[in-house]
Formats: sequence, structure tokens, C-alpha cells
Amino acid sequence: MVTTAEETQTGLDELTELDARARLSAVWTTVVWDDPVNLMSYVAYVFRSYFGMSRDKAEQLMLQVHNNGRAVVATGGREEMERHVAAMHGYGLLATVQRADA
Amino acid sequence: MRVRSAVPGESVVVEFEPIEAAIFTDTLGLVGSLIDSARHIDHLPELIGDPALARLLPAGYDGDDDAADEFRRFTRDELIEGKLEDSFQVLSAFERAGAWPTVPEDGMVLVRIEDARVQSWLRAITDARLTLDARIRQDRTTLAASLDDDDIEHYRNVMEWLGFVQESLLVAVDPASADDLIR
Repeated sequence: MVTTAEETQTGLDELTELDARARLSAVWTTVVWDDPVNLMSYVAYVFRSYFGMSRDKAEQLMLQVHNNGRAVVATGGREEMERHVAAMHGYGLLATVQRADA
Repeated sequence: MRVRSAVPGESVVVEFEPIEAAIFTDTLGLVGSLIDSARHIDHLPELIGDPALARLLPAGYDGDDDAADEFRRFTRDELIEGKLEDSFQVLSAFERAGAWPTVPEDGMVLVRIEDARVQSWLRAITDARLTLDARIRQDRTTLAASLDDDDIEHYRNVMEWLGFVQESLLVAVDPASADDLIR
């Protein structure tokens, strides 16, 4: 099979575009990590007041952080997750942005 | 310290002994100076050089230094400003109570915290606890020469007490928080 340079270029452009779209739509998460200082009541409070979580949901995630060392508290686009992580740092919680499939 | 009165959604009035008010405001002042000093630190290693600052301004990515550096560049200033603003709000409440910058020698200090400022208090207390914890855990040889074992013991007590203050405030503004307290 013979392909012209033009065809190859078109194929590459498509690939690049696909790649870019995949990166844009990639699913990211906000991970909150356990730390030995923050009180459980405070962590649950932060989840309720910042993310607007129900009392049950906030408590469940707080316990996940406490028992498993970490919990995914939000999922979405990268920029949105970076905003959440920055906000968590404002509350003094340890948080990182992570790709959902990482 | 005790909560004198609380109207959820409006304000909380907290009572401090003069010595408690002094410890509270001194601690916040020290943490504020520490955070302020981070404004001029551009490089990660310098920040990591102080475990308290590294904890107050943590990495936003785990295991990706480039992404963490970039995240820090974009978020650091706002994070620092926010923390300083929280601390300022708390000290201003003490100032209105006539207990900052100088605490009266006797008589209880009554501080009114408006509902909109409660988060500043909770966050500033958190920053103070994180800082004290970092100092307590820090290798003694890397601490300022002026700090001795008694100071570290004092830090430990203040950190525990600040936890009590924080939970008292939490329960005052959000009574159901009592369910999350460790029993």
C-alpha cells in the first residue's frame, strides 16, 4: 500500500487531535490523604462545607481517608481538580490531583 | 477557653483567659510570619528545607515533580494570601475585643466571631496546629538554637489545646459535628 505524504500528514493530524481530545477529556481526581494532625470532625466539616456533601457522604469519605490513608473526593476535568486541591490546601488538608486511571 | 453563646448562622462568642488569649494570638502571629516568609521562596528544595512550610504549602501532585512545581507556581501566592487573611481575621477579632496586640492583665477576653469568619478561625487554627506538629517532629538539630525541650513540650500542649478550641468552635457552629468527635 502506497500512501502519499499528504495522506500521512492528515492521519497524523487526526491522531494528534484524538490525543489532544483524550487529554482534555481525561478523567482526573482529587485525592485527600490522611495526616496525623487534622481532626476527624474538621475533615468531615471541610467536605460538607466546601463540596456541599451530605453529612453521611462526608463522614463516609472522612473515614475512608482515616482508615485507608486516602480517598477520592471529586472526579472531573484537570483544571477543576486543581482548583479543588488548592482549596483543600487552603483548609490545611493534604490533597493531590491524580489521573483517574493512574 | 469556652463558648459563651452560639447562634448558628449568626455568631459565636468565645471566652478566653488572658493567658489563653496571649498564647493563641502569639502562636498565630508566629505562624503568620512563617507563612509570610514563604512569599520569597521560589524553589522547592528551600521550601522542603522547612518541614512546617512544606506542610503548609504542600505538593499538588504526587510523584510528578514537574506538575507539582507548575501547580505550586500557579497556586502559591493565592494560598499564602488566603492563609494570611485568615490569620488577620482572627487577630482582628481579638483586637476588637481589646486583646490584641496587647492582652489585658486580668478579666476574661470575650471574642465575637461572626458566622462568615468562622472558617477563617478553623483554617488559621489548622495552620497553627500543622506548624506546631512539624516543629515537634522536627530533628532537634535543625530547630532554632533558642528552642529547648520545654519549648517543644509547650508546643505539644498548645497543639492539643488548639484542637480542643477548634472542636469547640465546630460544635458551636454545627452542633451535629459532635457526632464526628472521637469518643
